Amino acid sequence: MHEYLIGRQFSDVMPELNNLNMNKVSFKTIYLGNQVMDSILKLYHDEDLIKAWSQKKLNYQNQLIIIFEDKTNYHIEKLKQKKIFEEASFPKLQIDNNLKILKVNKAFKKSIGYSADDLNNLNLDDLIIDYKTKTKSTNFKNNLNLLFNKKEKAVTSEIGLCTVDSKCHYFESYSRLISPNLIQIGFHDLTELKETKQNELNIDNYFKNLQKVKKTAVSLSLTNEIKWGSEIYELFEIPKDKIPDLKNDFIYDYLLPSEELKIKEAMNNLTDDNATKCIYKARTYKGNIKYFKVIFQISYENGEKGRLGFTEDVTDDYIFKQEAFRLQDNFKFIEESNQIGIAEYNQGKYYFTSQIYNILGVKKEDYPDSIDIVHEHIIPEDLNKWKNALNITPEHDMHDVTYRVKTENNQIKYIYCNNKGIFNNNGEIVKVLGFLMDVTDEILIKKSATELQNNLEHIQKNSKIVIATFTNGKYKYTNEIYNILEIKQKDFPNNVDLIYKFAVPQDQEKIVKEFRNLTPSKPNLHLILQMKTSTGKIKYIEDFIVAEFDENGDLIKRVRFMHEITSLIEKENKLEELSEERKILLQEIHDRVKNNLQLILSFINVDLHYNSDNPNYVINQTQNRIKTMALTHEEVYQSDSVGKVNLKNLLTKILNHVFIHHTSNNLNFYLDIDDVELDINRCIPLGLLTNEIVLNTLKYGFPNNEPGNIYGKLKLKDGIIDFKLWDDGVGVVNPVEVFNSNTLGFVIIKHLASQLKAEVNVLTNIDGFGLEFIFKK
Amino acid sequence: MYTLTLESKNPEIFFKLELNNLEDIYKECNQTENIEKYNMREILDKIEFGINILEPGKTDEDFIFKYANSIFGIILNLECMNI
Repeated sequence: MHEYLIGRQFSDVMPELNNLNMNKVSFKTIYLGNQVMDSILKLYHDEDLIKAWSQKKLNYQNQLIIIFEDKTNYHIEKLKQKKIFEEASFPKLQIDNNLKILKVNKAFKKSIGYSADDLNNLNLDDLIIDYKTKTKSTNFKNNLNLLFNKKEKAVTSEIGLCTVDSKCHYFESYSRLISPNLIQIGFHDLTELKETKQNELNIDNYFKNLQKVKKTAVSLSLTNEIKWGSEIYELFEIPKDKIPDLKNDFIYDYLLPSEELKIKEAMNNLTDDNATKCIYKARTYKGNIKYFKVIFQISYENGEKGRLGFTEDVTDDYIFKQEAFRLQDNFKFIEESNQIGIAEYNQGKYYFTSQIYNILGVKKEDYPDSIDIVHEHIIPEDLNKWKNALNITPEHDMHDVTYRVKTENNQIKYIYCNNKGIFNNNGEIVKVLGFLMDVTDEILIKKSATELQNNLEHIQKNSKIVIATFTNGKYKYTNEIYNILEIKQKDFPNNVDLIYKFAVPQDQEKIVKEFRNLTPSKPNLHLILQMKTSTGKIKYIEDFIVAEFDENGDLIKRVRFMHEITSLIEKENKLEELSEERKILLQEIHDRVKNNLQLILSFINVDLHYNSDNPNYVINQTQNRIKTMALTHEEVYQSDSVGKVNLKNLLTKILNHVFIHHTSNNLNFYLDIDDVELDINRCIPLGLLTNEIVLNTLKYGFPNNEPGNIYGKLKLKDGIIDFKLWDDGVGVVNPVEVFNSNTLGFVIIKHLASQLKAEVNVLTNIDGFGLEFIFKK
Repeated sequence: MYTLTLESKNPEIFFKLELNNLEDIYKECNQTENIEKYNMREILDKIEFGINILEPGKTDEDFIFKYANSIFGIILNLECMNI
């Protein structure tokens, strides 16, 4: 394993080793004591930070362990914050608790002209003045002390500040404590704005006064008459030719109902010291509804007490005011009851409603109104979207966008924003309004709904359950139905009820009948339907139907959930068949038991007839026969196929039993049996037959227990069984005659052979005696 | 132009290295030495942090890299920096 020894080159990039005199002191000496050193390693490309790692170095068992952690994102973020100060568009400075200015940003240097050092060399008191009085201001320093003493979190004040070229600028300053001994101050230059506003106010007042003069009508009421200024006719839109016909108190004719009371009340409350006023509504000569404000005051004309009235048309103001109130109410309502936040940018200032602060998790007092708090929180990937939405022109004065913000507690939120620009007549932008809404929940719900939908589609695609809907005369099925019915979707229009179409005729009738029974009170149905697929296969489906009805009881929708149950039905049918087979078998077993018992009874009767004086022999024979029967049944139970017996196994067992119990090991037997299975009803006589022949052979073929052989051979050919049994014992002179005699053994053998419908032959050309049975399988 | 700096709370520990190419950080040393496979290598390979383990060389000026996992590689690997 090779590793490079880097040596000096490495110590070049780990310079603290040099600072610790690494080259002169031994490694061990320096790093004894598990000393830990932290540092940050940063890599810049030109001026951009591209990578940063935190480094921890520690000594452990005479080894220098250096641990790196990638901190690139953290340091890039930190640099960004530093840049926010440096690159901010408005002047900023940072000042410590000794009122030493630590740094100023580029905008400060540009608009005010001083560097941090310049400011520290000058007296702040000389620079900061009261804008209006042009005298020194102490408020600024007091405000800073309030912050350092933590009596306030942030302070806004208006100050005058002399620039390097001795011009006085008017600023709104926003100061906040960014660390215990450090205040950051932002300045917003309002000089131009203040001057413009002042001019606007002057012009506005001029016009207002002009209007007031123009629209106010004076009246004087004396004891017997009312004198009117000519403006009153203009206010009430009375043509000049109608004026001579007017009565003294003509305005009462134009008042709307109940408005007269207001005027009279104002007049009644009039005293020498107090003027009174009221606003009343009147319909002018031309029929327009207008609001008039009248101010009454007492006047003495030539010693005579009179009542002066100043009537003014306040329709526009009144309506505007009413609308303003209404708007204000609506606005408040929207603001309080809605999740919509409103952001306004107007003349360099930002205004945000409380919802926006809540969304971002920030406090209003932590930000000056010169900062767009939304911009501060947008995640970098969405900044372009946000910028594009602010590309507002008179032609496209509205943009909407959804972007993400990172809140103070590091939560990502989705914000829907609709920006609206307001322009003056010259097409210059006056203000920008943004309507913001936190749509995080909606977006997330939408996302999870889409995901759910995808999952559902996936389930539907892969599920074996068919979902079928019927609504507005149209059928819609999930894909599985086409697999079940072995058809293609494109071959069937959506007005075809595929279930009905492919159901077998009797089930078509069932569907029609059962569907008629669906009602609002019984909207569910469960059917098992037999279908015939396009290839003629019979399949079964289980169908759950849910119907929906409108308030009139008319069907509006039917949803069916179906799945194929063919294999289930087939299994049930098979089980039913098996159960039927079992019943039959059970019956057969009863019959066999009865038959076997009858057979045993017959044997005993016959035995008794021939051997009435030898009951032991009868019992012995009966035992042999019962054992033969038992072996046959045992073979049936052990057989795989019910009711069938393997003859090779059966005959071997029977002969084994006879030889074990009735010979003295001086006889051999040889069997050559084909692998044939035979019905149990025929095995019983064959077994008994074999038993009888072998017992007879033992008794008569080898009377003195001579040694010898017994042979058995069973062959199946073309459905015919050829079964031979013979011995090489003493034999008989005339075997055919002996076989035809009425001795008990041969009577029984012939009887059993007849049960097998077997042809019986006596074997010749053998040493002993033998028989052959030929019968159909 | 690349600049590698090292900053620490201790103002005396500051370092600045200017490089035309990133490869210059890593200069292959003429001296090499065969070392044993580091016994904790398999565990350390799985750690998310970068770990370098050095031992004093034959002279006090040199170190032998006993172990260096991927993070240190990233410092030296130009492709990983997307530049």
